[in-house]
Amino acid sequence: MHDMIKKYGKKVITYAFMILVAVVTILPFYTMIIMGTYRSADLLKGLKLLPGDYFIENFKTVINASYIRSYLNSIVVSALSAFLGVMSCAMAGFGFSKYNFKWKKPLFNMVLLLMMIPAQLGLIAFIWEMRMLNWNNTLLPLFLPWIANGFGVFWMSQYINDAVPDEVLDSARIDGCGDLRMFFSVSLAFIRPALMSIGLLIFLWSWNNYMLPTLVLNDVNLYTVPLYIASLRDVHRVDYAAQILGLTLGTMPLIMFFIFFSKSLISGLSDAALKG
Amino acid sequence: MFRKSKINIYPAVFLSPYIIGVLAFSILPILFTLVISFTKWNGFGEMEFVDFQNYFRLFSQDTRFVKSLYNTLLIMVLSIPLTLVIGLLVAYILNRSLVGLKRFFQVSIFAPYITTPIAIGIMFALLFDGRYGFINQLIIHLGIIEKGINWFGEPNFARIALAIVLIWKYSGYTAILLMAGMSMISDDIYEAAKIDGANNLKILVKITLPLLKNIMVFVIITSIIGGLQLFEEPFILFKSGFSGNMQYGGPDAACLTMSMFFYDEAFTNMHLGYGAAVAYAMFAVIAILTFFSMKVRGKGKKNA
Repeated sequence: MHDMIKKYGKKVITYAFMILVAVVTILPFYTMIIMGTYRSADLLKGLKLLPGDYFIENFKTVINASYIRSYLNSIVVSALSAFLGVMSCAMAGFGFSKYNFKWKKPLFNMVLLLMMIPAQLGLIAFIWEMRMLNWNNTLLPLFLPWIANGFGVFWMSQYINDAVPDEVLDSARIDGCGDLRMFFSVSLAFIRPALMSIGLLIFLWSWNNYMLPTLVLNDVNLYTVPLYIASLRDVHRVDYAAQILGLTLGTMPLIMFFIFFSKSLISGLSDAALKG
Repeated sequence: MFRKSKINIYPAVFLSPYIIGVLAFSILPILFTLVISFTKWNGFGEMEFVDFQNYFRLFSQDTRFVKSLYNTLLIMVLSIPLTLVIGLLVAYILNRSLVGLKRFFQVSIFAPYITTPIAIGIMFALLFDGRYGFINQLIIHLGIIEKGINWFGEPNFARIALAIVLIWKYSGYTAILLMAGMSMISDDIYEAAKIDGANNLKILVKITLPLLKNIMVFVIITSIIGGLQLFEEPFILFKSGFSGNMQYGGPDAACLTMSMFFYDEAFTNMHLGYGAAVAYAMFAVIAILTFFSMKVRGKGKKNA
């Protein structure tokens, strides 16, 4: 009897702790969603835990052309970042793991070294460089640099080393397969999970990027979602509820998207941590 | 493979996008920033070379840089240990029990990590609001205090609020990384310990933690590197005019991090030369701290 109480007591404490963790995690999102369904004036009157009835009106205030455009900009930038980043990392990873060449060791050490350098280090000159190229106030500086993602190259070369068997490449070669086809038609099929994980991570990082777009973009028409969300505070300064709904609509779709892919993302991050 | 071939152009072909990108977007800017750090320059006019003046000013005259370093370290001390403890507890519970709900908890604790930092900043600015914020309303409602706390008006409360945001954001992410490490530990070890009469706490301390050492080191080092570069959340919370009328970096600049200081000097004041020196000083701090944490790891390995 005593053992039973002890056993169940432990279970209750464990569950209570996990429920508390989940509530604290989700509550900020929940209050954000709820607050977007009230009149601004009502929000100041006290704690709101259930949805109100002013959602449609707030929605009409928030949704406009520049909001939708910021979404499209972010989708274009993040998709191009992910595609270019994944291709460049996979190609470099293939080069490092399946060939021997003269400068291999020092080059790979350079990849590792650059991985540890903070992004701010070259930022001032990078912004100047973009201005010299007349690329400021375009979306180019937001996605092109992803072709040089050291983390992705390191990860891909480890992954390709393990996942693409040399025997398969050798026999493909005997069948007269060229190097490019060996990569594009043979190897890519073996590394699909890694392509997916790195692609999702780059998409996420690129989507959430804030400092770089504020520095290269002036034109409101080119704003990405984080910039637009930050500007909501000025646009709807008086309309508290509309501002919050704008925030909800700006973040929720991406969260839903990533919850859908969470398995791939989580396994990717875990993989990286285990190898690091 | 391909060891027999004399000269193969394909390694160069496969590496070229990365190499071109790294030269254009990393190496050249990093080197040119080093040059800029020895000048006085606003980005448009003439560059004036000033030797080590920027660095001299940074460490001996500008109290703001030293203060930003102090703030950054203090915020890290407030947030990282608690994040690790919560992350470890959550990972341990999810790994050893609650099998059915594992996936639900895994996804929900992961949500903060994937949320846009700017949105997190604004969300918590609203939640911590002195008059109308949910957090004050809740603690008043529960009767813990009578009058709301002025979270963004007092230096230490501002730091605590920021630390809470960071703990909220990174605990789940930490738990997921640690879970990956725990899943590598074989069940047999746990079974054997149970048979020997070890309780859960003892198993956690004596078995799980030592076997998790490598991944713990990875998590700690990446937390330190990330913490030293902290920018978006404090920037949106403590940019003047955002959460009330306040100075850049919060009350008494208590939450002015090194990255925020860098941004302010380089891109608001347009002191590019000085900003470049700040970037290199930050890099030095990060390199030194990373080097020491790796040293500690190396020592631990020898003893084990």
